[in-house]
Amino acid sequence: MDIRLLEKVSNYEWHVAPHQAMKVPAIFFGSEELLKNMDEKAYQQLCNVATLPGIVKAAFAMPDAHWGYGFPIGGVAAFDPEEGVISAGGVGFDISCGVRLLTTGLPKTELEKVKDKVIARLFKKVPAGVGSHGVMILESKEMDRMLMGGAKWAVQKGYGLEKDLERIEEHGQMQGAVPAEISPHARERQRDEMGTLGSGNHYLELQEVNEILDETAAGIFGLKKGEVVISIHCGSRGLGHQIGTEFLKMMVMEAERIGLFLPDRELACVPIQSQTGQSYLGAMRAAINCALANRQIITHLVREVFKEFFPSLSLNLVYDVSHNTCKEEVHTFQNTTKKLFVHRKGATRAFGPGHEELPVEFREIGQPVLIGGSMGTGSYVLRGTKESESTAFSSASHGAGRQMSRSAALKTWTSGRKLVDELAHQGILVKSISDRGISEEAPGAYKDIHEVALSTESAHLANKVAFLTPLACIKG
Amino acid sequence: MAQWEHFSHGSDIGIRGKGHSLAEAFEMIGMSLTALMVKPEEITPQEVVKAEIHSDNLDFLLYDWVNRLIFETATKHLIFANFQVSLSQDPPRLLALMSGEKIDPSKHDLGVEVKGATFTELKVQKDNGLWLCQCIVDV
Repeated sequence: MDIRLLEKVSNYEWHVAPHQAMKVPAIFFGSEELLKNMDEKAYQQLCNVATLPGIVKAAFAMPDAHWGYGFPIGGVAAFDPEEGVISAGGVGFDISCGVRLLTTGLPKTELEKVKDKVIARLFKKVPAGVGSHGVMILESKEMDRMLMGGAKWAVQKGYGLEKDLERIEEHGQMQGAVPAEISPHARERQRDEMGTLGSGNHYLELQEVNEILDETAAGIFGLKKGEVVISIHCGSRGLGHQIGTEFLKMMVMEAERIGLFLPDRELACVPIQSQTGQSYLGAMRAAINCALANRQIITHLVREVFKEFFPSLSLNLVYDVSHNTCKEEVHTFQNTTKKLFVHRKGATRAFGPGHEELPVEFREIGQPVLIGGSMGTGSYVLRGTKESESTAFSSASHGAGRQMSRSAALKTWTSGRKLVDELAHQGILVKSISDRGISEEAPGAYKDIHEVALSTESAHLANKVAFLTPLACIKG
Repeated sequence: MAQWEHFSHGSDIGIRGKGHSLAEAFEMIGMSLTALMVKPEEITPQEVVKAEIHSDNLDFLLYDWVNRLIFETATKHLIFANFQVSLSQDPPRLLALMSGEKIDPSKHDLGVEVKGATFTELKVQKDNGLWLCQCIVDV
């Protein structure tokens, strides 16, 4: 990106003043290095978001932002409930895609003795990749219960523990879901996909707590240096994808019909209060429950495998965060406190200390924020801060962010097998049914995770707590 | 001549089909989609599936076509290597026979799962005598 297009407000905050149809400024967070390497399309897309009706304060791009469709990935935009719009593209196809982190209490040295066997068992147990199917078939009535109940439904079915629910956003169950808004096609796509990882950038990774950067917060999150933790990254599977597909088309048609000018069709949106807007909200919230249930079932499968090797261990959930959502939240801005609909497309919610949504034990220090990195470099755990509310409606980065397209990655790393061997040489075991998928997800295709985490902290979006390094990874 | 290819996008990937007729371009974009998931030459056409799609305009017809193929793969685990499309532009309507087989990880070199078509870079147009259709798909 040509940073001359941006006004530098601080070393980690850059503004674009409203021009042409923009109603609010576009604000980019990140170091000069990250901004220089960010693609021009992310700039255009964020300026486009700033033109949408009812947007408040600004359109924001997190430090890991890159070219998406309609919204940039890493985009955050909040809308007034009466005058604002809701956008299927602003949420994304993989509704409520997110990450959850589990502690094991297991020293890395103990895992290393059986790591190859553990990852092989996990690879067998957790379905991943094209054409895979899950542990159950969900028929209509049970599907409705899942769509209403989310992770709570999964726990009631025996997948996980009651105490897990407090460590999931929305306490494991998104309110306001309307299963009647879910089409037969979306139901059919989900019928055999519960408890599946998917593919692309989704993963199940065993990691080591490599470095503690905030002793107090790490202690409260249960993170100890040298111990093994587990990250699960996936979303609402076929159900979410189908809802995204159907509502995107509906919104394109309706936006044309009501004369809503859109600089890019992919930004398709409708007024929140319209019938389509309300239908989408009901469907999207049901898809959030689907994602929460999906990650809960995978957690159960992971626990079963760990029990085979380490019968006395308890795998405890640190937190489950979603990064493709639109949520109704109360925020304070420009001296007023009101409800807003906050779109986070590839961005994590990052509530600061004191927020009533957080479990009691996190209220002193803020919400765990999980920035998932590539399979070769590492991931960060951060925490929401007091400033995150006033900075970008309590939002932070969600991943390393791609810096190279999938096609370019395939040309650069022509052999997935070779990459697997190289990573094994570094002590990182990678399992995948897709050789090409590994090439596309090569660590070098992603931005520098350290730079993203540093920018996230320096921009006052969230503070670093711990750095995790990969030990073994299943890619979809 | 009829051909398919992929093109770059920041986070996802573009699929493109070209042909002497619009129907042929739609067949080729089907191949382009397949090639993201499985190498077409590894597929033995064993099962035939029919599709009939009516849409409001050609852009939507392409969007609906790609999404229909994604749906068939997602729900039946079928992957297609052969497409016979007949198409009318006014009203926009498509009839297709797709032949392929079930995905088999022991036989197929698998790529990525495709979530859905998007309107990003979506085009249906005639270029230098050849029909072209394309869009970014979310993977």
